[in-house]
Amino acid sequence: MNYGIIGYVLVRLLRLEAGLLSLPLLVALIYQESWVNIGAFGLSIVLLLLVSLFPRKNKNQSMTFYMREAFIIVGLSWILLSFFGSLPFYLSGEIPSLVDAFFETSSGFTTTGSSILVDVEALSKSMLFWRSFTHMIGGMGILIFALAVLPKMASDGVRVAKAEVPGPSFGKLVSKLSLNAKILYIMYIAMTGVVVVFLLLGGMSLFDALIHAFGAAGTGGFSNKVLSVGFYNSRYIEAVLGISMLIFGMNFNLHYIFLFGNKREILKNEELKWYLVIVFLAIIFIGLNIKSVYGLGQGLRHSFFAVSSVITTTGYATVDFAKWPLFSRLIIMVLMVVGGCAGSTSGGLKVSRVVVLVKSGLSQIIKSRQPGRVQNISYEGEGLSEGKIISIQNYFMLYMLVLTVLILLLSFNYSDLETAISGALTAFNNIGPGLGQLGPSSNFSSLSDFNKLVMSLAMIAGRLEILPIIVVFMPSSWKKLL
Amino acid sequence: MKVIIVGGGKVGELLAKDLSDEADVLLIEEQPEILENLIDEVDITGFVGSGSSYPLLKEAGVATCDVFIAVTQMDELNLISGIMASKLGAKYTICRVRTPENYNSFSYLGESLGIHKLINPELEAAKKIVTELEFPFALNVDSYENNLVNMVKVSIDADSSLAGLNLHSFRQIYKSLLVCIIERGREVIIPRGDGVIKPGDHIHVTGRPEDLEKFYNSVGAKHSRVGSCLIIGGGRITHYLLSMLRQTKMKIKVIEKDKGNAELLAGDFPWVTVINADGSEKEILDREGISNYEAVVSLTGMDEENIIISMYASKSGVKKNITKVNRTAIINYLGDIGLMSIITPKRIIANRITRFVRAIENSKGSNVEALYKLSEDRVESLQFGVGSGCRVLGKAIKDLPIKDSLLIVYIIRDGVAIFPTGDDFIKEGDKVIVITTREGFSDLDDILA
Repeated sequence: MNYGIIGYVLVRLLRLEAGLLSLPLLVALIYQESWVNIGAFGLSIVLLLLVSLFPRKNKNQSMTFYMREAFIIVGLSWILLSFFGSLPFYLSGEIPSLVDAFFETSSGFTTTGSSILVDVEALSKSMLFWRSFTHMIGGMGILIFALAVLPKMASDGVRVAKAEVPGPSFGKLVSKLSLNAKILYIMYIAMTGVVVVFLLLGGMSLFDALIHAFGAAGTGGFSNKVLSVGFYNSRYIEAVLGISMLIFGMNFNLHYIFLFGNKREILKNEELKWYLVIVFLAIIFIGLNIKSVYGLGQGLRHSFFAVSSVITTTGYATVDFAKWPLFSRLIIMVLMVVGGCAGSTSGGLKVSRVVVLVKSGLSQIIKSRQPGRVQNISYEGEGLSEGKIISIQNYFMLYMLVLTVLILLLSFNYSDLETAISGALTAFNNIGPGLGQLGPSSNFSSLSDFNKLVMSLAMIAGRLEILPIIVVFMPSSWKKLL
Repeated sequence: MKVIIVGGGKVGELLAKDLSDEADVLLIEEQPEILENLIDEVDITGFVGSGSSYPLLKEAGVATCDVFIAVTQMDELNLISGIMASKLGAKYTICRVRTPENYNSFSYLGESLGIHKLINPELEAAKKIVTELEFPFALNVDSYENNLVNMVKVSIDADSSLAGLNLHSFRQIYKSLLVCIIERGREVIIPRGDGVIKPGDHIHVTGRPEDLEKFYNSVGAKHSRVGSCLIIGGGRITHYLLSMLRQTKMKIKVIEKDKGNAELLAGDFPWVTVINADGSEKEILDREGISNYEAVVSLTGMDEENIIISMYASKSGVKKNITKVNRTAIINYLGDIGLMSIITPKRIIANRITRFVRAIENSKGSNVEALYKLSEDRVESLQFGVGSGCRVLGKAIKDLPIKDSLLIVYIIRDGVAIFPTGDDFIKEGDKVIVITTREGFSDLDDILA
């Protein structure tokens, strides 16, 4: 166990966060906000810098670390970043409870978009900016960012990247990890820029465009309007955000191939194919189901936006889908679990895992009908090894286990099944709004403090795909001998 | 005395060498070349053929042999030939049995089938490793008389409190302990009272386990017993070792290359962490935190790998390194490394069988009851029972004309170990333990000049 390296990396990340906090500070200065806000950001930055002075780097510090340290680094850093990121909200008094502020910030970093705020529009601009900016940071991953900008971190960084990047496998674009991280971030920022431009063309103000672009890029879903995207009631804006969410829900390696490689390869991508099939079917089914409420044209419009928002785990809303017929709500719940593609900014189980799980489930039927039959479960044109399939099945088991615990805990706060289940799904899959009492038009403020903390951790666990958070909280992980 | 050995492998060869001086050895081996080579080298006779062939055994004269030893690679062959030999009339049969299943079954069945002793090299090696883990800072540990007396080998550093001490003062500080061998470079000294301990020496100290523990603490070893242990290689020895360590609270991790084996181990010993990886890779050892362990035991199938792993472990700061080396020829290279305890399963069982055979051979009068080889076989430790006709009776030890290069280490009288001074007497019924660089002692009277 290399405690030194854990401290070393965490300290550098906290300094990085201090740097990132200077952006909302700038926003506060531009909009000439009260000294309380400026002081809140300033004090947070100073606190971060003070804490980061604490563990001095030992000269003989061994820089090598292994999977256990990587898990602990990733898990701890997300918890610490969420905590320190919540300080401006708390110190400025705009979110008076520290637990609420922590929930809001975790929701931001994990690109969930669930809020405890009853009235978002009461928040000052700098706070709104920071709240949405956390989506941007958390979407691609703060440690990936660290790999991109900090030298020296890359030696064993691939383990950290593996622990942070969502999806069952970790693919690199180029052989150098730090270059890989840079390319990812440059593409990410450029694509976000494009979304901002398109939104500006639709008549949004620059500030609103930034907020919504951050939300779409990180697949987070914080809006600065109580009515979310429904506020603008513009088909153009809905189309821009709907399509950009779907694009950010795809594997970034595909974007790289699209930009710089052989475009035909994209068509061969099995995960993308299934992703689009699921999206298409869901839009049609929901559209037909809600035809009686809105008419076919409007029905498809709302269905498209809701499906795109939920499968990419963003959580923007144009209408309150919690009031839709049961069939549509159930499809939305299924989409929550499926989530986007591996290697994207979205949460959920990921399409690739679902495809493999379904295929391996179906293969059991064939096998039981004809014992001794040799079957190869193929995915992306290759046969999957038994180990890989088992690890995906085990992940699913863990996922269900955590989900069950979360539903049980939520049952103390809510009286109906739909709210409890969708609340757990939405937090754990990093979506944002749920159904029932947690629909797009309401919020999480009615949770008990304990459950707010649990849900904050659940959001982080969902974003990091469970394992790092569990490892951090297992006492034996911290022992010298494992 | 007639000894028949079946199987001319490593153990058969060691036994032939050890026993050829005092017994007529006949070796039965299937491969003529191996037999020829051995006959050229050692003074024995041989038969080519299978140890389970009835006519062959008959022709070899099993009916008249005193000891029949079956030590081929195969358990079943050893057991069958052992049973046949016993039915033919061999007085004593010893069989090597390696798999846990066979060993456990025949520990109960053997006696009724006429097999007198089962010897399991891996089990013996595991037992030895357990004692080594109990005395971690010793380079070597042997126990005598069912743990009544232990002998430990320690290395003397320049800053050790023992460096420069003469043996007279040593005896005054540690009353019930005795320095019985000093290894200085290639030289082996059986010290008398005037010897001096020098830095760089390896000394063998003997005494009761509890006194040795005190000796340990005062020499500076903090923990008298190992708390965590990394085992590389998950073969049979590991299997036996883990069964024996079940009671201890030791934290144990096993690194095993073969997936099937690793799974078996993890299934049989759920309290042990089993890692499926190649333990000879530095990267893997680092990842598993080798430097955090108090002891590292290298038990892979490759001698060289084991030695390299132990060298790396020792460089990483691991205090106790136990290395399995099968080929005795390699051990000679290791004299100067000195940082590890070496386990050679074949040497261990050859010693046990030799001791057993000598005990049988001397079943009358004062005789060898136990024999250990120490310091790479250069020193023998012999245990004699004292019969009524002994010439050593009735005189104080200091008045006995004892040969040089020889030391009476201790006397066991009524179940108690006595570390004698010159004024003590040897009495009838005692057991006397003697250490010597000379060879071929078969009677206590042989120690007299």
